[in-house]
Amino acid sequence: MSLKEHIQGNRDLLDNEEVSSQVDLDFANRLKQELHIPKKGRLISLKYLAVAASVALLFTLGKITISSVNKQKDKTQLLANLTDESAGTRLEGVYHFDEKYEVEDVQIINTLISILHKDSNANVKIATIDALLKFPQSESVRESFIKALENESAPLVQIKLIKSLSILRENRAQEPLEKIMNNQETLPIVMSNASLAMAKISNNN
Amino acid sequence: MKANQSTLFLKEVELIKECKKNSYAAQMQLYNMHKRQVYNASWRILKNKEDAEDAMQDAFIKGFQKIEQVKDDTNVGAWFKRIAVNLSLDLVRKRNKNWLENIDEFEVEESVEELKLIDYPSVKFIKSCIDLLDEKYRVILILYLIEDYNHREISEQLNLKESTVRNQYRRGKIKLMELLQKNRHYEFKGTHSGE
Repeated sequence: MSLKEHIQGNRDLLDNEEVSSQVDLDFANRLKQELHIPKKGRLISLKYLAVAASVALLFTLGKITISSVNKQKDKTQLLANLTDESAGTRLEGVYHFDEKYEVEDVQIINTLISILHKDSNANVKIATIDALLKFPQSESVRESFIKALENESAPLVQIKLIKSLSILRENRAQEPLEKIMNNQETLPIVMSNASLAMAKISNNN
Repeated sequence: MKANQSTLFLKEVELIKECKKNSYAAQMQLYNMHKRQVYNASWRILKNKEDAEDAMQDAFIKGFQKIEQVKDDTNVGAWFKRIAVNLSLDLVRKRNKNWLENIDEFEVEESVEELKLIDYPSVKFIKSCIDLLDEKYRVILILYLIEDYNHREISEQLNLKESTVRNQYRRGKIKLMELLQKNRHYEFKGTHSGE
């Protein structure tokens, strides 16, 4: 047997340096950053192009219609309802938005996102999640769902967020889902929903 | 054992398929299965912990980006390791041009007999003797003896003539054999590995 054959036959014995867990963690983060975060640039520039094209069209036609004025009034009322002290009024506002609004309005979306993070009423939050799901391509909506999941403690809202992120197939939800699954205080029903969502997101990648 | 090996193999085939779909979970599993051999391959060449860690990570990222190119039944660990070795050699070329440029082209005769050892020492001991050699011999011996590159592949990676690589390998091997003969008693004074 030659020296090379002897070495090749026992090559596994040469791998005695260990990889530290810190390096593992660094790699996991790097893998997410480099291969799993969607590129924003193209989407944003396309969106701005679409918005710019719409605005240009409006000005070319030179029409500011009465319906536009009414829409503005409606929006003002909606925003007022969404920030009302009464949970019932806020809920009504969210339902109104969900039924009537098809176009993404930045101001309204931001108000809804604020409700998602700060509202004291779980039903209002749940209705808000449904309303925001109308805009699955919106990066701010996706990010708000992930952030909300990291901080939310109400079980029904947690479940709603988990199911929504699963529908959106949002890879970035894996980390908060893992935290929920590793938290011993998580309710079993939330745990099982998180586990299902994790499997679905992982399989869909 | 064979049944376990075939089960592991099937699992790896499935993991490669999932990696082709950019599955994070599958990528992390493959990383955990092969990180040790990939890291050690880089470490042996670079002898620097941080550089070897970077080369390992770069190799996996690059590998996952190009995994479409491999067949599902590829020995993917060996494939990642190859990428890591090549990246490590890139770094060797960048940081240590001196020894590559100053290699003596004077040919060593092929007729030098390979010193035969009655008992082969342990591979760990052989490796420790390789580590004592100058880098110009160490890298080439590691690539040939451990990473199973042929002389042509080594010449391409290091930008040397193939004849130069063969010469360096012969010189390195002679020095290694001398070290093995000289230091054998140190190995057998301690615990005998029984390999």
